[in-house]
Amino acid sequence: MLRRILKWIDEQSDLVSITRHFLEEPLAKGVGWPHVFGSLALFCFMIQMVTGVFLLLYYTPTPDHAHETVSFITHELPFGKIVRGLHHWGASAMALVVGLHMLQVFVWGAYKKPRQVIWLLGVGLLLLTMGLAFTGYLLPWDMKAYWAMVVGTNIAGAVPIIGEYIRVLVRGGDSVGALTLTRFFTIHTCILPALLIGLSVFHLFQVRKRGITPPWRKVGDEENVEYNQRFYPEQIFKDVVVAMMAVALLVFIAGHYGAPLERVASPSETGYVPRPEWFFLYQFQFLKYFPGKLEFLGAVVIPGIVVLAMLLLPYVDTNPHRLPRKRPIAMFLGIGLFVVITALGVMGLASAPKQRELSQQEKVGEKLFLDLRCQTCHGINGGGGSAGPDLAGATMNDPSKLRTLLRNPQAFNPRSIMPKYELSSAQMEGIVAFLRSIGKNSQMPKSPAIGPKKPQGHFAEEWLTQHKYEVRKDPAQCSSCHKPQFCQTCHQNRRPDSHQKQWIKSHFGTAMEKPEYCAVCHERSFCTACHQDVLHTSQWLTEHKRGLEKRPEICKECHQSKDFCISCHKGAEPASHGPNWINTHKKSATRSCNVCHTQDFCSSCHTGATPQSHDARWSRTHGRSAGLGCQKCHNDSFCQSCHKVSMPHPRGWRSRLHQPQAQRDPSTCGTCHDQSFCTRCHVRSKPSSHTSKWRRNHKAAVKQQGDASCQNCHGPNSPISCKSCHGLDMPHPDDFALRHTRVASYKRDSLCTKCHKINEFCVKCHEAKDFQK
Amino acid sequence: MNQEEQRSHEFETHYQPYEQSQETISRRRFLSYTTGLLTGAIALLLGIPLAGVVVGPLLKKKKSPWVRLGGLSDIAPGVPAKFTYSFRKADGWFEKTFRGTAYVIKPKSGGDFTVLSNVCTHLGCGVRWDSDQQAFLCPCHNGGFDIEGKVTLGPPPRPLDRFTHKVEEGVIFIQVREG
Repeated sequence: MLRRILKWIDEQSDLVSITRHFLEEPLAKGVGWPHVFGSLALFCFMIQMVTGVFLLLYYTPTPDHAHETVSFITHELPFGKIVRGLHHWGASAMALVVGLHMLQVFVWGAYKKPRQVIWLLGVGLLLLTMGLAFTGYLLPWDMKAYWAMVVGTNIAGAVPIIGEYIRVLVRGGDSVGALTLTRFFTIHTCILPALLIGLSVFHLFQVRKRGITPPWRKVGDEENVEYNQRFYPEQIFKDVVVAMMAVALLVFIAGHYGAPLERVASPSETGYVPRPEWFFLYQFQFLKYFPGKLEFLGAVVIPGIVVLAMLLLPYVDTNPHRLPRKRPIAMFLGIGLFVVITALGVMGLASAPKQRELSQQEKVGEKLFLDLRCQTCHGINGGGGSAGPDLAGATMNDPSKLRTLLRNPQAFNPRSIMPKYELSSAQMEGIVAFLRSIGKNSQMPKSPAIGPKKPQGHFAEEWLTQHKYEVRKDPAQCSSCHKPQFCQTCHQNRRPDSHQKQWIKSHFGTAMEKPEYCAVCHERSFCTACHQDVLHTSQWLTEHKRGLEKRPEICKECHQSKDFCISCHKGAEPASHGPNWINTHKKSATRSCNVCHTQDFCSSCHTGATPQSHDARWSRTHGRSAGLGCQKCHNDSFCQSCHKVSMPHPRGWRSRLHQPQAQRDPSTCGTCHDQSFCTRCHVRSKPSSHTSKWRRNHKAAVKQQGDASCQNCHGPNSPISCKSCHGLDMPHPDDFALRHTRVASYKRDSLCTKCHKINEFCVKCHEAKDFQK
Repeated sequence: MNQEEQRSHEFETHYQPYEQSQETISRRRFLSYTTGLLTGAIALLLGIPLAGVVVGPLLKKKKSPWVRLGGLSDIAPGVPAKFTYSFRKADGWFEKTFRGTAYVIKPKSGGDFTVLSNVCTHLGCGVRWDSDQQAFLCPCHNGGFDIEGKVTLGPPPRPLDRFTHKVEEGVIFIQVREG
């Protein structure tokens, strides 16, 4: 049946005959395994074509979505990792196999007459392969791709005179951006593959026309060659075996390792150390020897000379021999070029700055760094978040300061939104060690993907400052991934812009109309903490009095104006204000009157008509009740008019604030307190003014300030009155100078000398001989 | 004689004797079969992941997430309460917000809630509750549904879809279907 179909097709198109003719090409003896590279290169190209088409189903060539789609293919699409891996590693395989094929052709001398054009086409195919490799690895739009394009297009700009135009033309503008991506995408998927297919067909045609070079025969000596095999099945078998091995290896590598994908391109990240793919490393290393204005030589001139030399090789090398030992110069130059390129590539690879191996403690810190998700806010040499400072450039290196910073970031900056961390000592030492190990060559540690994929918008540089708009647009977007505690991590130290001073009064509108806004950041318990018992349901109008009784002060949080209550209750008294309210309201007066009534309301009755509680002794006894309800009717100035100090006493009055006031005006204390009140404390602990020398020096203070201050504590009824020390009432009465003789004659030594020196004080009036016994 | 003809001539001279031997025929057949097998293996190794990439998204399990509708406190018995809801749904590498409307009916006689979709079962227009006529009316083709979602008027072929729902802490959730 199959034969009949094939026969029909052949009759219609000669396709079967052509194919058979192609497959049954006679091959010279000696053609075998070394000649598989050509077919293998073609096979690698076919893999690239097929996998590339399938990747096109999901790839989008825009900066907003390129990385996202490649990430989707790699991480979410079934078999996506393998297909992308085949394409990525297939590109490397193709570059390698094309190089090996050229090397085999060179060593076998197959470029010589009459196959010069085949060699020229091969050089063209090599250049197209390198072009495909260069344009292809921009497409994921990750850091490596982006910076490779910046460097690569800058190299193009090194050409004198027209370099700038070439650079702008290639980039599609002044900088690498969306237009660069679309241009490279078109070149990579349309232009270069079409050229490569055309050149390959021509190349194969020429190979078929001229035949594969009989091994080691001299030029012009291809008669009498033994042709003892056909292309199919002998050579194709070898080709398929090698292809099978290549595919198996590629599928294994793709499935096991996948294709690398760095973080999304970020032009502002200057700490990234770009390195090209391995097949451009030789060029990367080579350019280091041509700095500054010499760059043009290394980037364009010398590589151009090498390509030209390759193109002219079949015409310049007129040695008819194909045996390597009979072509020493060609072999030396060819193998030498191969060795130089390989050596440059190895040197380029080795020149990448190596990261220092972390110690055990630093590794503990690194793991904790990732567990706490510090990279959300902090970058390391650009990789990571941007809310906080980059840790590679951090100036704080002192371990004790780092520990303080981690425990209390607000100690250094009160407005910091960094949360506090309570860590064990082992954890603290670990993370401090890790932070101190971060240097200019450090990279952000790889963190495993946790939870749902981060939306692409979260990678935008201004996300931290702009996300509030996304929250307002659609709060459900945040809530779908983040629990309220996530928002509190930052906002506990810095309220959102929308939560201004008056938010507590104005938020009810938002809460009523769009409760989902509140739910993004707040648990329900946050709201009920305030609204408990006072939730304004549809029955609130009749139920609110119960809430008022439970928590009267909470109403004032929102309803600060009394008019709000009066707007209903004016003329319509609350149920609690019964007929006898005017007589019974005093019981509730200290609790809830001020919710609805101002002081003026109370004063309108109570001015001139004091409340029943304010009896005759009220001025002496109100101290016990003060603070419980005075503010309902009296403001602070009313209390101060008597007390001369703020009432009730402010915090700290007892420990440190009352001393200056007592010293300034001791009578202030006497308004309320008798002496026993003061001595209750001051028997055990003296006032600060009563130093160790007070006993000797208080005379001067009494003389200066008068004895009024003493009388407050040391009055006649005090257990430590002046008399208890002086033996006499102090101060001396005005006429003591006339009456002291009797006291002095009996008690001079025990009383007078306590304060007065006889030979200094008494002799002012008396003769010294009067004191001699 | 050009090169090709020369090769063919040389081949005819040297190769044909091989072709006629049984050993050569069996060797060629072995190579042919092996080549065919290896080619098939290559096709499988490549074909499976390629087919998987195309077909995979179609076989992805559709999720039915629970979506918050709203609080129950404001629902009056016997009057359908309209709620709008939104949920995030993956669309390839995108995540889009999908929005919808549902009506929650609390029976006057007590009992479980009913949550109805507002999508008319005729051609997908949005129905709305008309309190005067006490019915859900579709503005597109004059379809009508009663408070329980049953068809009372017009071309709709079946009742309004009902959402699976649950109540947690006074909040009603509905289960939406992706896709």
